[in-house]
Amino acid sequence: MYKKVNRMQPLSVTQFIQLINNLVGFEQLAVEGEVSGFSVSQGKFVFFSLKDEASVIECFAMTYAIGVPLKDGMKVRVWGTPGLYAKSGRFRITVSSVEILGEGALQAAYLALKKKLESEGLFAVARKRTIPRFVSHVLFIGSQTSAAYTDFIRVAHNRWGGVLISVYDVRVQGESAAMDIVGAFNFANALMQQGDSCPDVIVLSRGGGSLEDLQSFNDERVARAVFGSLIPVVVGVGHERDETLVDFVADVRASTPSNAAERIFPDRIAVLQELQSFGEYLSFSMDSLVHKKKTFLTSSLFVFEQGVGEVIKNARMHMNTIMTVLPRLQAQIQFKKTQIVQMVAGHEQRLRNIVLQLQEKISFLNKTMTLLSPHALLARGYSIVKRKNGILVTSARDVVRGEEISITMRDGEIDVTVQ
Amino acid sequence: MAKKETFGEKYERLEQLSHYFEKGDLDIDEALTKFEEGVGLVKELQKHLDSVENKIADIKQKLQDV
Repeated sequence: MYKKVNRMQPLSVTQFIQLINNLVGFEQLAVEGEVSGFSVSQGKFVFFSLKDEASVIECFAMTYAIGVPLKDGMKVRVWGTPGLYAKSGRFRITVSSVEILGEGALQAAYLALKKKLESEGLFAVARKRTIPRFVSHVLFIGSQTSAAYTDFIRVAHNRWGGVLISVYDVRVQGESAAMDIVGAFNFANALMQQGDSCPDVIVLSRGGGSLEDLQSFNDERVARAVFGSLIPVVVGVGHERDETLVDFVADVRASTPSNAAERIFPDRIAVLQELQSFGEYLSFSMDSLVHKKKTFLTSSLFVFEQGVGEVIKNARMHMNTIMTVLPRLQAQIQFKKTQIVQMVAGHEQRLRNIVLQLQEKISFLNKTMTLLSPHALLARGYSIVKRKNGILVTSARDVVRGEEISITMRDGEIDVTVQ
Repeated sequence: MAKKETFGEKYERLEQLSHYFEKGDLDIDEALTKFEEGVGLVKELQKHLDSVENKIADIKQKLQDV
């Protein structure tokens, strides 16, 4: 056929490439090899080479076909169509899907599952519960024959006492490990629902190992069992750098089984010191309180005494003042009294004098009156001359001849006619 | 197991009593009662730490027995 075409007429380059692609690109083939030169362009176009001991072939894919980024050195199986890329004339496989083989497969599966669980919220920090500071009952899920178990128990005994550690022995690797572990969590949840003597915390622990060894701790069912545990879970796996999916789901992630015990059991010595401090604080507080009350009472008493003393002192002062002033007042009163008495006596005397004087005057006037009285005159021999009408004759010229007058003498009257 | 007060519960009670003394003006009688309770708790908890061991129970064994 080719010879026929060759003899018939020459092809353009484009036609030639199209022809070749038609010949080879009619079905998908699976090719296995090692990845090298892996690169992504513009976030969309993936380029890498696939090689074995002797040969190499270029591969091209869109990112969605690859799914997970590949690493150089990974062993993969690709499905794709071979062909020439017209623009460069280079032969390559256009890859439609990739499967990672061996260790890489586990790694990829792990990463994919991790992404899935994270998006479902199994790793969410907000839902992680705290474990109580002082636990009474711990449930250990792991292999009773492992170093993880002995390490955990040893650290627990060193740090603390009085705790019940229930041990649920499980296989931690191998086919049935995942279901064993899930069974242990179901058992624990059942205890929780029964209500009696349920653990305060669960420890899921094992030693370190390869990615294959740790498979059960990366199992989706186990991760979901840890997430669905009604009791908080502490996960402590092998060595610090080992990282499993249950580490992310756990309420508390410990770096090792020993560290898990450290996170769960308090340090006896530290707590003893705290208790010591409490004791000291209580004593100190009580002493201070008593001292304060005593001081308060003493000062209150003092203030009270002072106060009462003041009152008494003031009262005394008043008394003294009164006692001093009183006699003076009395003296003054007495003096005034005396003054008044004297004054009154004085007045009396004056009045008496005045009365005496008046009496004397009256007496004198009386005497004078008597002397001057007509009777006194008569007695002395004088006479009173009166007209008939009684009017006194005081002058000789007042009478006329023949007028009848009377002359009153000491011892009687004489009727007279004037000559 | 839960009938007696646990270490944690007693410790919390001790913290409460401690807070009580942070207040300024306290009644002496009440304070004395709380002081005695507190000191009693301290002694109890100290004793617990000095003497008590952890106890290990094998679940599978228990389940098998049942």
